[in-house]
Amino acid sequence: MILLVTHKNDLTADFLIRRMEERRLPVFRFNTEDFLSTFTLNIAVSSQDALFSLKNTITGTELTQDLLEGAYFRKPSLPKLIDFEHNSDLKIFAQNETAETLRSLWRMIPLHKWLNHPEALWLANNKVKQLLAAKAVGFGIPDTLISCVGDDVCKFYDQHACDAITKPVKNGFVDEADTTTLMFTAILDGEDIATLRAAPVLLPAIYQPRLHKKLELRVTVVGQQVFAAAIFSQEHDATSLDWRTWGVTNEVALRHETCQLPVDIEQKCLELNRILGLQFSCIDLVLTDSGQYIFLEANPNGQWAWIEQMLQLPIRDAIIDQLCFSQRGDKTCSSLQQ
Amino acid sequence: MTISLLYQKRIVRCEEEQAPSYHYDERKQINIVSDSEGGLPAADDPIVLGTSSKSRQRPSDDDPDAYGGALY
Repeated sequence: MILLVTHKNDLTADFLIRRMEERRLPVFRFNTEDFLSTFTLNIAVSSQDALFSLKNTITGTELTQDLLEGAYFRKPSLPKLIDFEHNSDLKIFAQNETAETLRSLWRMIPLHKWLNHPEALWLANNKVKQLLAAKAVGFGIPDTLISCVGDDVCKFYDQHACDAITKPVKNGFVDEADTTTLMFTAILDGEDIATLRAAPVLLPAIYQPRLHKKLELRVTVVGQQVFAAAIFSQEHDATSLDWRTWGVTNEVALRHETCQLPVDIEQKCLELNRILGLQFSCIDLVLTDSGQYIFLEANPNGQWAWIEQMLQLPIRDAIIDQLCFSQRGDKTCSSLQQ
Repeated sequence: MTISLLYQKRIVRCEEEQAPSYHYDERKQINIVSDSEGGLPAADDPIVLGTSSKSRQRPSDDDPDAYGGALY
């Protein structure tokens, strides 16, 4: 049985489960927001054994260590703790206890069964770690400054011909009262430079010279398989600086095409995953006007379903094979394919 | 100490949900489309990716912390 750790609204998990059903593979979907309501967990450790039992109280399905073939850490949510809603202090305590209990489950599952192990995800998500790893495997990377000092950012800007971008050190959604917003890569302009010179301290941000792009690549790596999609971000003003805005505003029809990477670039993607301890990642590259492949970032738990839907790349099957392969050491799982 | 948030003006507002509402089926372990009131399932075939920023599940949603990465 494959464990899928996620939340209820994860539609990519639906997409994956449908394929598992087609391949007649059992899956246990653990929507972590429902831990302590729909799902219960026992962990028993003794000098003889280390056992766990994860149960879905609605379906009666039980997952134990003996049944577990592979585990996919998708997008878990914090458990809802309805009983503690009126006591904020106690709720924090309860949240910490439930989160730590779930971490205990993750750590009972052997490293080789995960795609990806939560600890590896956490470590690999740091952008500086990624840049260092990319540099180590021989990727070209942009000169990068992370700073909270305006004067130093201005010097960096001047050194790069006054043509630079800024982006968040991390990234993600900013949830406000009734709206959700996102921060994207932005070009530094004159107004920004004035702000930089005037502000004593800035919130830290990443600064890089602007790359002159021919196109961008989204490279999905699953085990030893590499799926590359060319994204023609330069065909639209709205996506030329950061094509991910396409995922939010839907202003343009962004052209995607399957592409074959040069062998050395493909090997660098595989090697990057290896040194980051990942079985899966979505790597963002730029192909410059001068024909260089430049590493931007790796997304250790990146989205991939839209690539499969647009380009019919068999990413789901690769993920399922990897989850089964981690247990059996062979391709038995694939033989069940209809 | 004043801290400046340089890229604040580049925040992009996410679109409202335009996709059908979903009904999570615990036994099937997938979301299925609900009827117009969001009640009983209207169709048995799950819509995989929606049109809002989150249900679309595109790279803007790469951040593993978006759903509670504290669970690492």
